Amino acid sequence: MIDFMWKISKFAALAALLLSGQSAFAGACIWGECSEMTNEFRDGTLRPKTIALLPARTSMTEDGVFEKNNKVAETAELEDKLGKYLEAQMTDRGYEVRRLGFDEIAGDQKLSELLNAANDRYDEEYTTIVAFKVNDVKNRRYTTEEAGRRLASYLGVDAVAFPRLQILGSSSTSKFLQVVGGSDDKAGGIWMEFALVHARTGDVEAFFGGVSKSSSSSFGGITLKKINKKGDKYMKSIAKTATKEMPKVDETVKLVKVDEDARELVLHDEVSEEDVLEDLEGLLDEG
Amino acid sequence: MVNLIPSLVSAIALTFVLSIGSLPALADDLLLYEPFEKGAKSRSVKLAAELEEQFYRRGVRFQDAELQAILDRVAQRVVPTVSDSYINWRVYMIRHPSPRLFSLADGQIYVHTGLLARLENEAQLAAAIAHEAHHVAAHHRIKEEIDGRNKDLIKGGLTMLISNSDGFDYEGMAQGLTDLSFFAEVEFETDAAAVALLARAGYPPAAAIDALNNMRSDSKMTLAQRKDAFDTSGGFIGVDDRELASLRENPAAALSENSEAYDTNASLVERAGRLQRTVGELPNLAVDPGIVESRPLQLRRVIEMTIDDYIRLNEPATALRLVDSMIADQPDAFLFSAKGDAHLALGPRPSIGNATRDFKFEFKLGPDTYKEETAALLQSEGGAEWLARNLQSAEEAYHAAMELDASFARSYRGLGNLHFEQEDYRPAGRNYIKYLKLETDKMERTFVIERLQFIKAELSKQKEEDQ
Repeated sequence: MIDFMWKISKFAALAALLLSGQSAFAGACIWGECSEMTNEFRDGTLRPKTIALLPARTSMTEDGVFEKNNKVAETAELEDKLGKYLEAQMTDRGYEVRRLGFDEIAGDQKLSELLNAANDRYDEEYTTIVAFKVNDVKNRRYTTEEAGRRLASYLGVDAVAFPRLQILGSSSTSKFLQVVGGSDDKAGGIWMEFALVHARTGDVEAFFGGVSKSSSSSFGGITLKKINKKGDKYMKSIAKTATKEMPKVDETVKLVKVDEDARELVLHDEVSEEDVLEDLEGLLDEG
Repeated sequence: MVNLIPSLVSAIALTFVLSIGSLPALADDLLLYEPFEKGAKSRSVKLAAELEEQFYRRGVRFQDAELQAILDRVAQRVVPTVSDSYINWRVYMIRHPSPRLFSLADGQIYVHTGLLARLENEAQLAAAIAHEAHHVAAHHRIKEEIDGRNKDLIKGGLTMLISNSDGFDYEGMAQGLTDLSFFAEVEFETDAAAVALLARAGYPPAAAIDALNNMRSDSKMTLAQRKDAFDTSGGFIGVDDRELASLRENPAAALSENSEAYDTNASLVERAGRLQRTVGELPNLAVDPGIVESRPLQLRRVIEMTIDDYIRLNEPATALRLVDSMIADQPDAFLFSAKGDAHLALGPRPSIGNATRDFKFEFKLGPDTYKEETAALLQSEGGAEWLARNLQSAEEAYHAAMELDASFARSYRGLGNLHFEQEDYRPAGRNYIKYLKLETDKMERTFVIERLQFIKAELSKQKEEDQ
């Protein structure tokens, strides 16, 4: 019953967002937190120990009285704060986190190429995920293929976290007009999600998200000024919310063969190149 | 294609007799750039500075010293002199396979690698840069911002008075009118100005027409991607106005639609036609044949990168189109190997035109993934036939690559992938082993080793079952 009510609530929130014309800003999570993971992530088989945390790709928009303005410079500070708090949350759960900074990316051409390629590939999948299909993460529906694997391999980590941050706030004038009834109420809020892509599969093995300060009615949305002013608090809160269901690192489990019937999932313990090639040519010639 | 550039350019250059002539009055007027100091405090200039920093910090810019030197040299030659304190010319590259470029209000010009891959000579690059330079020098972005703000005020007033009581989308309508009217007029003017800038710098003005025609070989971009591209800069060449209008009229429908835009970009066709007339009306101009004949761009790496980017971004039909245009002029192992990869990635999709699926009513939110679309197409009428054709074409292309260069590793990996996808593990394994003997990159070897590990397990299992 509770589950049913939750679905109803989600639908109501979705409808409110769509009706208020803010669908472009609605992430996969409608409100609160959301998380999905594959069975292999859940049982530890494909749960990483080391994670590369990429800088968030962010859209930040100020909804003015007559027009919407995209903000650029303001995003960097919030992204940095978000990265710091996500790193802390993951570290608390025992993961070894490598947070990538802008200077590192800008100073390494190979890294920036691999990162942009993986980000672009992930964004293709993300468009489907944010169309409220986050549940399909558990079915291993989404993949970055070799683009994600190359990035993880280059960084020497088990998994890469791809955060996406969306912020929508009213301008001060717009907020004032909303309060005095001179304008319709406008939606606003902070949405954040991150996917974990495993180095061995290139698939999205887990997806965690959260919504903070979401509002779609009652005297208008939050102002962007307030979001900037209290950015540290909001980023801390959303990082905590999003990682609520993230399991701790599992040091005991080793990568083993998972499923013989699904080719994409057949994984073995890592063996050397020599071991693989040994006797292989003989096998190939036998046919 | 690049090797034929000198002859192509010679043909263009020969159409212009080397005599000094003056530009027509219209063009001269277009190049009179008045300062617009109000622009210094505009949002467009502020945003441009912020974007420059963010593009750098996020590693969006593509770096290549050799290409950058060419861009800087051509830009220096073709951009106009302006007296605005906030305009400082610089040209950057962005790694993206679509044939586009854009400019920001303070003199930044961003060229996609996909555009560089398609341009046939330096003169065409100059034409593209000249176009964007005119947008900047004539302060189009800033004026659009001010113009848009005025219209927003009127629109906002209307909206507040009427309060959308009849359900009509005044806001959307006004927004569409604002952008589209600006776009069409300004683009025609800018094309004419680019011709004048080209001529003044000694490049053949006809290169502007060729550049536009090359941009028509557009990528398979979804309207959503086009919209994003437009919204980012507003200065892109090649956005189809009709598609943009339909996007604004019915975003939900338009955004869910994948459209291929090969040679259907009406605005580019119209612009190329207009330019043809403009160039035809010009007197014979001085063209420095040295500029256009002797320096074909060193673009091989960018061409290869663009083809691979299209395959990686699940746009193999565009990759194939680009490969075929290159193979016609300069066949080599890379191009044939990439052709094989593109056919393999196409799977059940036709290599030309749009893929269609059997109609089946189902309520859906959002698009399918590429993998799901592939599975659905395979079940559609003609899907299996196209898959067979693409596999055959891929195999032929890999063999052609091997004939041209037996030591080109990628061909063996491609052929291995082809067999692996068909669960034909022995030939897959043999080709992968050949690949490993030629490839030294550790990361690339890892992927193939994993496949061989799987093949070994499968063959061992089969052997046990046989016994």
